[in-house]
Amino acid sequence: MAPDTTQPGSEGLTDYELMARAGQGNHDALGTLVQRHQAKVVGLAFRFLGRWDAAEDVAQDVFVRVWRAAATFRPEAQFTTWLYRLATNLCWDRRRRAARDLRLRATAPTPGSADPPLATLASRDRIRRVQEAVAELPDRQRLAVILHRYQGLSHKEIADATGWSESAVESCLVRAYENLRKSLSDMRLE
Amino acid sequence: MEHVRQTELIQLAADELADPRRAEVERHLAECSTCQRRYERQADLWRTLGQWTPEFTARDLLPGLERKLAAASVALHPFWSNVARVSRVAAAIMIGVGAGYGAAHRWQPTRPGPQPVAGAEVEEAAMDALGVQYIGNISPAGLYAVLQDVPADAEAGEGQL
Repeated sequence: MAPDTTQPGSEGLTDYELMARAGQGNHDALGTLVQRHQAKVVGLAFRFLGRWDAAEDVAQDVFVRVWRAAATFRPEAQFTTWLYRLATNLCWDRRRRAARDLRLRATAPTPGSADPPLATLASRDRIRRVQEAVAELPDRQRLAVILHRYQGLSHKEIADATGWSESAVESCLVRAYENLRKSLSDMRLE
Repeated sequence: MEHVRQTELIQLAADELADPRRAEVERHLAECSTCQRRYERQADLWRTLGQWTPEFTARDLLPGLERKLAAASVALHPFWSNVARVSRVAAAIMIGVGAGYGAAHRWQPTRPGPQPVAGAEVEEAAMDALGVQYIGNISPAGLYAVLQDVPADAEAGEGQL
C-alpha cells in the first residue's frame, strides 16, 4: 500500500502528532521526526560506539523501529525518552555483537577513517583525549556519561531511558566522572 | 550541615539541581572549602568534557533510512506489523495451550499396536511347511484349513530314519 502523503506539512506538529500521522503511513511525518531528532540519536550512538558508520546505521534502525511502532505508539512517556530508550537498546545490541566478533571494539576508541574532520586543528588533541577517556570507560559508565553530559538527560530521564534505577544511575555517574577526572587530570581548559 | 553528596555536586555542575536544595548546597559551598574544591573539580571536568562536540549537521539519515524502509516496505507497513504481532501472539497461545494439555494429560506409554499381517505368499508357505491346506480364499472364516494327506514317500522316508 502506498504511503499517505496527502496530509499538509508536518513541521509545526508535536512529536506525538507526527507519530500519529506516521502510524497512518505518512512518510513525511517520519521524515520530520528524523530531521528533528537525528542529531540526538546519531550523537548518542557515535559517542557510544565510536564510529560514524555504525552510529548512522544504528540511528537508521532506530527510526525504522519508530516507523514500525508508530501505529501502536501511546504517549505514556516523553517521546525523546522513548527514542533514547530505543537508541540505547540498539547501541547495546550493536555493542554485544561487536564484542563477540571484536571488530568494533578494536576500533572504538578512535574515530574511523570515514569520520568527518574534527572542529579545529587547535582543539583536535584535546577532543581526542576526551573522546578516548570516555571510550575507555566501562560500557554502563560510558552510556551514563553520554546520556548525562552530552545528551542532557537528568538522572530520572537516564533511568527511564536505560531501565536502571535512579540510585544505580547516580552511582554509575559518580564512578564514571571519578574515572574521567583521573584520566584527564593533566588536562586544563585553555 | 554535612558535606554535600557527590551526586548533588554533579547535578549542580550540570545545572540540574532545583531549589530549595540548590540554595542550601550553594550556601554550604560558600562556607565549606572542601566541598567548594570538590565542586570546582566537577565543574572543571564538566567543561573539559564539553569540548567533545562532533558535528552532526552535515549528516542526513533520510536517504539511508528510505532505502531500509523500501527494502522491507511490506513488512514495515503498520498493517503488516500488526498482523505479525497478532500472529506471534496466536502462536504463543497455541504453544501454551498445547503444553498445558500435554502436562494435564501426561504422556501415556504407547500401547503395542496390531502385529503386521503376513503376506499371502508367506502364509501359504507356512501352511505348506505345516502340512495344512490353505483354502482361506474360498471358505468362510474358521474353515480355512484342512489336514493334508501325508505323501506315501514321506511315510517311507520316516521309516528309514
